[in-house]
Amino acid sequence: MTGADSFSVRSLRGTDRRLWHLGWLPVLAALLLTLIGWEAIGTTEPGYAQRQLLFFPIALAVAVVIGWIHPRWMDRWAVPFYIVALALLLFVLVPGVPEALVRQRKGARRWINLVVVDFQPSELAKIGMILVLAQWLRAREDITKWQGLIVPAALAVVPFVLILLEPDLGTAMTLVPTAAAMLLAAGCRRRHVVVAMLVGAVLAPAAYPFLRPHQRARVDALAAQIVGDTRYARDIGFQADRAMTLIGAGGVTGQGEAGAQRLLETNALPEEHNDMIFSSVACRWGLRGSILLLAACATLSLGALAVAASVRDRGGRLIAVGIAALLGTQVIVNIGMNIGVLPITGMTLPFVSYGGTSLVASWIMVGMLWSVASARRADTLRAAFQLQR
Amino acid sequence: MSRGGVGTFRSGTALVAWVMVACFAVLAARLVQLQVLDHGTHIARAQSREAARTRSETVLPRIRGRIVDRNGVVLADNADSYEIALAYEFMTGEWEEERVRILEREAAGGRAALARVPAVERAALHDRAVKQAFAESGAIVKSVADAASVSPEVIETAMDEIVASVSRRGDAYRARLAARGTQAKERLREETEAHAVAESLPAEATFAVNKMQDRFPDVLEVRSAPRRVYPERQARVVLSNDGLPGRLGHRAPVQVHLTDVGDLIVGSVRDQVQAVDLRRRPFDGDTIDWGGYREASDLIGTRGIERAWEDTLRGAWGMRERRKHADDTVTEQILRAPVDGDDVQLTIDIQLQARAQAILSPEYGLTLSQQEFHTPNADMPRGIELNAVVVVVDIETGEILAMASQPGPAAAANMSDAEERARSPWIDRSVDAVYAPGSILKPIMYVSAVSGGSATPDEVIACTGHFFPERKDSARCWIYRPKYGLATHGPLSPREALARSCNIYFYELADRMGPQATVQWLRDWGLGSPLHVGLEGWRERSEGEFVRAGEAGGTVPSERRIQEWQSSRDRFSGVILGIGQGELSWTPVQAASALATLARGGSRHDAHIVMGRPIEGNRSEGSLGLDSRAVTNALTGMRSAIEASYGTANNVTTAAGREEIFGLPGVRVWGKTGTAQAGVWRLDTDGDGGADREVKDADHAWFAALIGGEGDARPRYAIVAVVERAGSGGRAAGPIAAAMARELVNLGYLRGEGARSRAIRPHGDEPEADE
Repeated sequence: MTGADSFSVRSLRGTDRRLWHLGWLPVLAALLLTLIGWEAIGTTEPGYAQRQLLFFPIALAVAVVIGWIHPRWMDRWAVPFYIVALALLLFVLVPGVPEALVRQRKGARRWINLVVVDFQPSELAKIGMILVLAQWLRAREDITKWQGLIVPAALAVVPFVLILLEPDLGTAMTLVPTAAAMLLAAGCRRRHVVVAMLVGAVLAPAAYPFLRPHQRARVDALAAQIVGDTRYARDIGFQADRAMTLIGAGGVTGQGEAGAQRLLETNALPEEHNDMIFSSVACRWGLRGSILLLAACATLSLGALAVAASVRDRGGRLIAVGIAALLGTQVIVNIGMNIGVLPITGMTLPFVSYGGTSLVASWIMVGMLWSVASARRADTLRAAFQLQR
Repeated sequence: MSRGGVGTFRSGTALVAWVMVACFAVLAARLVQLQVLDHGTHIARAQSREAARTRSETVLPRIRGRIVDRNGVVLADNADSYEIALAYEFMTGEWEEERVRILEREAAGGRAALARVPAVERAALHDRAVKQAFAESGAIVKSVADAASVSPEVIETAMDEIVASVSRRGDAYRARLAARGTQAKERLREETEAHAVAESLPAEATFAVNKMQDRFPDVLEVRSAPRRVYPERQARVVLSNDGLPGRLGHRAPVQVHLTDVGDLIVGSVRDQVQAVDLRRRPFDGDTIDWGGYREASDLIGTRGIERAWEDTLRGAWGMRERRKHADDTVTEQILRAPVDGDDVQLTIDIQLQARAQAILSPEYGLTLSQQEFHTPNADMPRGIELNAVVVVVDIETGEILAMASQPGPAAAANMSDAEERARSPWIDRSVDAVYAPGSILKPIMYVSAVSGGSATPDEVIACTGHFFPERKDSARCWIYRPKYGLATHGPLSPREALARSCNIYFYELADRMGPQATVQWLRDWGLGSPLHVGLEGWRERSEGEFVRAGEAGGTVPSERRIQEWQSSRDRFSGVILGIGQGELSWTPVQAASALATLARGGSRHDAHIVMGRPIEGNRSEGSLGLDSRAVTNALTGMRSAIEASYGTANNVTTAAGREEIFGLPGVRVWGKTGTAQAGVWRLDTDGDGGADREVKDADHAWFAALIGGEGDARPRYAIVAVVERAGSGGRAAGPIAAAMARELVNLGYLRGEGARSRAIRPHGDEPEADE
């Protein structure tokens, strides 16, 4: 290890950090999304909005600290971080854990009670997977072959399965495109990815019988909803039906704060401040608000990809691509389920949905992007070169 | 550059970027669809739900009108009964969700305070609220189950069935709206109101639920839902045998226990709305029909007056609005008070009706076959029950006082399916069975012929035994038979012709009138179309098309048929109309109504069964324009038929010799017998559903009697009796008419002079004691 690599404040920050770079794009987008989220949560739950406002400085502080740290440390801490995240995922699944620590909600064991806040290990696991995949892929040439994909696939599959067991199908599914995007960016052959996706597409219907009853019902409800069948609108399709109605009710200009508040309350949309926050946004601000939010999300994800394209360090690039894919997938899945093109899953809209863990985790990713983007080329090039065989 | 270099990276990243852009584009397109193209639909649905959440309407029940007899005796009433209804939102589980929210707010001290509760505490608070809401809903279901003395699972099953049924209809309704391109009304009314889950409960069973109702007024409702009861349906009638011929007249008084008094007239109700009701009068059609039908518990007439006067009896629903305010308080307002149904008063005297039914009962013996005074028929088994009818009409007003049909609904319980099909106990033969008129039509034919100018009032016509000189086996007089030595009546005045019931006299009149004029006169007397006495109910002729039906109109030859006769030089078919045979038929009520019209001298007051209400199609104005001399002669002839020793309605022969049919003191009777040819009767004596015996000459017996007090110049009541397959009218139906006249006397109908002494009491007074 060189002197620069020894643990010190100077080494943590690294030298030659830039101030002006593409990392600002996701930062600004995340700020805008956080603002929209805070205002949207306040539509029906002003108390939650205040709490979200308290979470924001914490999330921002964590992001600033992470952004300040040089990306090489992410590479170093990737494996321990990944192991800790997996350990926490296992922890919530262990049967004997007291309910005071892991409380089962709606049949799922996803949260650890930290007294002041509930913490979701899966949020850490997503970041952990990105870090460990980036670390593994940055120095590999054999990913052009099938056998080269075994280790990265295993690194993704372990958290995938653990999250699936919680159960949290939505979060688990976000790991798939994230890992696929990172493999593509790392140089994996496209045809391998295409073949894997085709196999997945073919096998997906075969997985239907293994889904839990409520998951199968949601798929059925989505299929019915797409063909205009309202059979499920009063039970399993209730949430999606209400969400679409409220989004549509927003029109172009929106219903305003009072109108949206009334409609959201009387239409009894569940999770309107959380997973279904997009419906609140669309109802209150209409198409203008929806498109603004969508544009901010696009800026965030594409900005992350731009960051990836702008740096030479292979690990940093892959981290940025992973974050872009992860955030993009979350946005697409969340909005998709709100507008009735994807089944309902427990998936938050990054930066916008209410929830401390989600907000902090999302800002951690922004911090990681800042860190990657702000590292100078020479610095990163050398690191990348050193690791190449 | 090696694989994994910048070029590959950029290419892989670009692919990821393009995929993302494509996904975002799809999302944006879908948003445009939802928020621009389909905005109208969605805002309507959202606002409709908003309205449903904050405002609900409850349809308020009303009480069905009563049916009372002419003296105010209640024949159909409503007994206290209750039902428990639960809000639809409670059944779907939405109430529990809402209740959880309310309990959370209450526990936290308000909406704002709740928002400040830390997440962990909030989760605990939520769990407690969920537990409490479930406990409350369980307690509500249990209280209903206890009241109904069933298990909670039964109530839950009932709730599930209601939700399944209502949501199915709701979905179909929304699909129809969507097909028409409108979504203005997203919820069916049934999806916002309470539905009965326990019915027919006594008041005491609902006491415990009342407390629960006070606690959860928006969930639980105890509603009055009266049952329909028929207090006069059972009667024990003791009949004397005074005036009955032969051995029957020497018995001890006969006690008859009836369980279906007035059943065929008053009818019955069902408590389930059927699709046909909704097609006829939907409550929620394009506009609200307050008297319409809803998918809810209700009483709907299925037979008799209950069906015929359904729209009068059912009343109009009311409407209550319930508003839920932001502070979770609830206010109610009556938007429209329910209107109870009108009472319907019948012209029937239920005591006389009970006696009429008792007279026709097998226990009394007059409707059993081959009594000693009946026409002997070797083919006919002795003692089998015959179908019969007796009708009593007030001549002055046309009001039907009694109208009995044997067998009645009570007999159906003891019948095999085959017997029930053969004897039709659910048919009211008074208005729904048609028979050839036979000779009771003769007075009407005579008066018509004179009034139409085809004969003079005192015209004498000679009976030659057979009408066609060249044919002795056709169009004969009843007396021109070998068993009477091929006798003839010789020259007859109209009075004698009626008293002796000579056929030739009336063949001659019919021949002179010609079939067209005959049919036209018969139509004027009420043949060929229903009288509309007030028993016709709505019947669906084709999908969505409803007509009044339920009374037979009988038949007269059509114009086309008459032309066929004329073109084939068929005189016979026209001639036999004169004696009430051929292509003619009428109901007993039509016969009684026509004879009452004759007794009135031709003024129209068609027979009817409902008092004080206009009945569409029932004629009560105008006159037939009868020749008064002819009317007098006809009545004189009918008087002679009773009084003269040669009169066909004078006597019957029993083992003891000749006995007068009407030997009643203080009563004046005008009568006419009739025997309507009915051909061979195929009998099922072993009840296996197949005919095993043939009875020849099993004709229907008619007797028409006009009754007055001793000093009356004109009759007051018309009685018509029919006994199917009993043979000679005078022998079989005459004693029934006589027994009926006796009961009129017993009930005081013939007291006083020329006026009905039995005053009609407005309904609402106390009914008389049972017999």
